[in-house]
Amino acid sequence: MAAPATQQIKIRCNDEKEFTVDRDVLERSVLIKNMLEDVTEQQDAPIPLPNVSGPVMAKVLEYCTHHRGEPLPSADTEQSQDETRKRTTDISEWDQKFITVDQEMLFEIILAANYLDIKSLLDVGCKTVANMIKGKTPEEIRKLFNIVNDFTPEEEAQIKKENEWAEDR
Amino acid sequence: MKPHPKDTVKTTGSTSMRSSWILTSPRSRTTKGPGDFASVLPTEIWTLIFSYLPAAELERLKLVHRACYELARAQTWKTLQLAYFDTVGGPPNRMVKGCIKDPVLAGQVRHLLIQERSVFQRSLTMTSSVSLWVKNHTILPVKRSQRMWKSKDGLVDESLRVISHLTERLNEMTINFYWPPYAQRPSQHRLAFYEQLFTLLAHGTLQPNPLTQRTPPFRFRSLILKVQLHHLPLIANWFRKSPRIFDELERLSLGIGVTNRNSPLSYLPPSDDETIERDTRAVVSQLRKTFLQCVGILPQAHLP
Repeated sequence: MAAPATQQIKIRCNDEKEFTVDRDVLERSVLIKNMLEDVTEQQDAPIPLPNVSGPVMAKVLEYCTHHRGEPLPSADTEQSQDETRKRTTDISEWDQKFITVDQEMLFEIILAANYLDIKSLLDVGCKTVANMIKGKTPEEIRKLFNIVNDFTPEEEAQIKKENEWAEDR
Repeated sequence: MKPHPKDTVKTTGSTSMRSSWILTSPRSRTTKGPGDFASVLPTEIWTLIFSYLPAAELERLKLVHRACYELARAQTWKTLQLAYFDTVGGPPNRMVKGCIKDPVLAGQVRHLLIQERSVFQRSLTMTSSVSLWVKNHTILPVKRSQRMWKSKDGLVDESLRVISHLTERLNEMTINFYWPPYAQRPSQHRLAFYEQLFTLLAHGTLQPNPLTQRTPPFRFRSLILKVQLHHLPLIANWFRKSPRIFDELERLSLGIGVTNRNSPLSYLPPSDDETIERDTRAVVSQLRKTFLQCVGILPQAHLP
């Protein structure tokens, strides 16, 4: 007997780009999963995603397709990870290759993952940024993210003084 | 952080397909001017990124930008760890002193982590050139000080004093009762500390809320306890004295350590591994329920 066909869902991004995707792939997004669960009737109209552009959604779908079928992290898992202080910045090999994109795209993926509520993708993105920050001086970090130093020299000196207690630990 | 789907999406129930999905308007990432920290990513995302960074990195981040300073400081002071409360010296006391001295810092603390270390890590520390302590998920080297091994009653008071400097922001407590499996009871120092701690939790108050000027009682949304099996009755008794801390509890995690077969206090019958595991699970599950019932969280009806 043939396996039942997977339901296909249409989504539309903010640049009018549309995708037709298997429901289980899309349900990696808790936002979309909840939307679909809230709808009792069959919907033919594409789900509008006004916060995500086509190219970013394509990347997000690549991630969701690769990780389809994996259990979604529960709130409990999330909390216990934080509580046990086992937050490492390790990223799996596939995820690492996947997230090797330019900075603009990386930030767009993070924002999309946050909006679509895809916890694992958000974690991969945030860990990548954390790894970019590690070992850099404040000036290098400013340069990396194009941030302007808004401290006066006196304030900077004061903060350095505050930090001394941490450095002689 | 994330929009609740129900806030974001409304289905009209109409058969008109085009109007079936109604979403809020797109949110712009750039809410501040260029060069501003918040223009790069929203604050909630930075908070998540910072949670992956060790203390030393956070200290460096404080010098990047004002907003970055605030976030890094919040992350640094999010968890107040009382680890050496029965010993003199040691870095965590600096954090304790910081909280006592500066109400702004004390106001950042959301999580109280009581994680006993020191005496029972003596062998580890004394044989290495540096001692270790845990802060913000990272083990940092610290200069060893002989003073760390001398107990002093005053520090119990200091540890308790810092707790009463905390504010309503405190909503999570973790206690790792790391008394060694072979100890029937904790040391006198520790007993005194816990007796006073639970009295404080039962009758003391947090610092006044600046808006309402209320002095809220100690209540936790999340409690994480790690205990040895044979210490459970003693600990349950302490918690029974402070029932109000459970008033707003949303999550309780109770880890129970069972002494191993080589211990003179072994609870496990000599058997094959599978049986041991099954028996252990049964014992732990039963005790967990008994504990919850004892402290009044689980109604009697839930007990088997």
